[in-house]
Amino acid sequence: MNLPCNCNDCQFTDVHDAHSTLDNAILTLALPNALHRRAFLRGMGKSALAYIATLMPIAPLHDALASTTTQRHQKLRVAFLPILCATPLIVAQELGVFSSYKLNVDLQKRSSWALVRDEIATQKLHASHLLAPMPLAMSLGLGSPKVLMRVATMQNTNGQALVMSLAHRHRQNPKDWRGFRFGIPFVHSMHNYLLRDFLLKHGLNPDKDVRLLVLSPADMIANLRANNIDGFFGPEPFNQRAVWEKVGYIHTLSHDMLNGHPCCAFGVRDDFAKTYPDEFLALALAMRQSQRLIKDMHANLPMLLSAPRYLNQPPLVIGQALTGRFADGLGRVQSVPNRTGFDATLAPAMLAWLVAQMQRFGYTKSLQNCQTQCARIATEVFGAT
Amino acid sequence: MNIMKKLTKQYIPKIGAFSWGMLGILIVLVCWHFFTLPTIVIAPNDPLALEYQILMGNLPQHTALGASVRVPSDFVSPMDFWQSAHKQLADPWRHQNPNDVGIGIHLLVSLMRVAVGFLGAVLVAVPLGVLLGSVAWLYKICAPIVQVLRPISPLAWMPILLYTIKDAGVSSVFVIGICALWPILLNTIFAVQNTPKSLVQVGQMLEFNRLKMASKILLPAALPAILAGMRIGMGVAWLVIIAAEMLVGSVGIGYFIWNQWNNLSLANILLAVLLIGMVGAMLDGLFGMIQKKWGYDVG
Repeated sequence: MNLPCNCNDCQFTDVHDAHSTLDNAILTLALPNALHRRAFLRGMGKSALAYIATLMPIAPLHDALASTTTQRHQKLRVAFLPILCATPLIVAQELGVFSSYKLNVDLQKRSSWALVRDEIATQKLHASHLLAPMPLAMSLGLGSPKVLMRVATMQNTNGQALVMSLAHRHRQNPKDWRGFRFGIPFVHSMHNYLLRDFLLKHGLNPDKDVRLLVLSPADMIANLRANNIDGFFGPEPFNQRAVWEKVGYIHTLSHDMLNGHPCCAFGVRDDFAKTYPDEFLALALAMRQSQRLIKDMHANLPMLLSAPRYLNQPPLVIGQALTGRFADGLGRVQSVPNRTGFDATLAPAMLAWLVAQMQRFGYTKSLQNCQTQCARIATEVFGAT
Repeated sequence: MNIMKKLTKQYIPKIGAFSWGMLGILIVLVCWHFFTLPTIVIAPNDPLALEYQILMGNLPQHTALGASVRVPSDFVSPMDFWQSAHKQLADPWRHQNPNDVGIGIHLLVSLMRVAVGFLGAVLVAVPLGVLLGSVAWLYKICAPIVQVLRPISPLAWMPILLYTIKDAGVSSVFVIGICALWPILLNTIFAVQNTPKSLVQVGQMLEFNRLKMASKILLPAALPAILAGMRIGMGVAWLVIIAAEMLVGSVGIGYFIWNQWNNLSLANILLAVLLIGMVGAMLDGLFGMIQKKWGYDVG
């Protein structure tokens, strides 16, 4: 099902192509269900776009495209980390969503958040999977040189968890956790913010009463086994993997701490978005398309993700994190259908929460006038979501 | 009593070193096999309890209620190890996807990085060592700097290099260079400083200039020590590459370990560790041969 370009002034075939791609993208966005879309096209014929144009600003998008299609990237280097949050990227690559948006994506696995941050900053990567607070931290110059970022879409919602060592199975009340050590994946992560918020709610000061250590997810499991840490707040499928390895149990899902919270973002440098607006738009649309596809493919998704080149984990572990029917490590099978979600949009309330935590836990102390500036910059960074 | 005496006096001494080594390996393998034997487990009769056991990975998927099943041990068994090693080694050069390449390519990339970094270290350390060893006042100036820089761990260099060079691959090569540099440099300095007086006097008698003195007298006299330094430096380089690649690489044997570690796949990590050990021993053997060929005793 393809819509021909219906502008009359196209002189160049590549512009023509781009228009038709964009129109189809817009159509897909307006009518996500393929059956509805086909029926709509059959009914409306060539006037389909004209009708949609009354609902959406198509002309400005075409104008933006016309001025930039001459500059096209041959190959986009895009990075992901092998965690469940990367599912939309992996699905987009594997099911050819990127190529249907005329994007030539070289999807590369990376080993740490700091590395991804530096490679985006130095333009080794064009776009990357990032922890939700990272693009804002980078744009504010927190923990790294200041690089203005722009987020194309959020990657996922919920899907994280607090895992505690099986050694503490009889001390499940957080009030008894004074002096405990916890693993977190990165300072500027939802994991850190959610865990701090959770500890504070239970009367523990995250800076004084416990210790938070930055660890890679695999190291979290190894350290939990070695009793070097008492628990961790990590990404899936590593929480479920800790249960599978019989070293920990799932204490609280992030779903039960702040339902609908975002976890990872997908973003580019601001200057990339400005120089290549059509690529940026195509990336955003491709990701949304991929996120819609995910909803219909729960059955074979774990198999796809478990490939060595992607998550490299047992399908059964991934499946439990995805479907929300899982063993909790304490002998119960739990059912939480919303354990993991893949929403592209960031609710304004969630963005406000994120910025508030950043200030609350003192990460913006080094900045002057953050009170007025941070929220504005955050809105800019996450504007496309 | 007689048999024991015969055994110890006559047969045991005849077993060669190689056979002893084989026997040791065999004993380890047998112990490993018996410690990781599968156990027989009876599946629960309650559907929910069965589902829990399956979701925990304790029972294979699609196990029937109340069935008795053989469950593999937690630690990887020799047979599992052999199977996963065979899978990896059967196709070591596969390269369909940049995120999933064969172990041969990982090893080769690591060896290339080590070769480049090590060569750089040799090219810097040997001339610098001859210079510092022969010019006393220069040595006095540089000694404290060398002493401070020498004990810095490769992992500590990495962030500094990543920040300044801004390229992960080049940074890891630089780290290898920096870490392999010190043993070669110090050995060269020491050897040049301790060149036998008689040899230097021969050069002075023949009215050699500085350059000729270095190339004809100091360098050949220091060669055995330089080769020894290079051998140590190569060992260090091979140690460092693993650590460096675990931090930065998207390819290389260190990254392979990190990736398998991420998957908590003990069998593949064991394979990689064995390969690293074997390659390290081969590199060391290579330098041993070079030492034998070009080294000599300075009387």
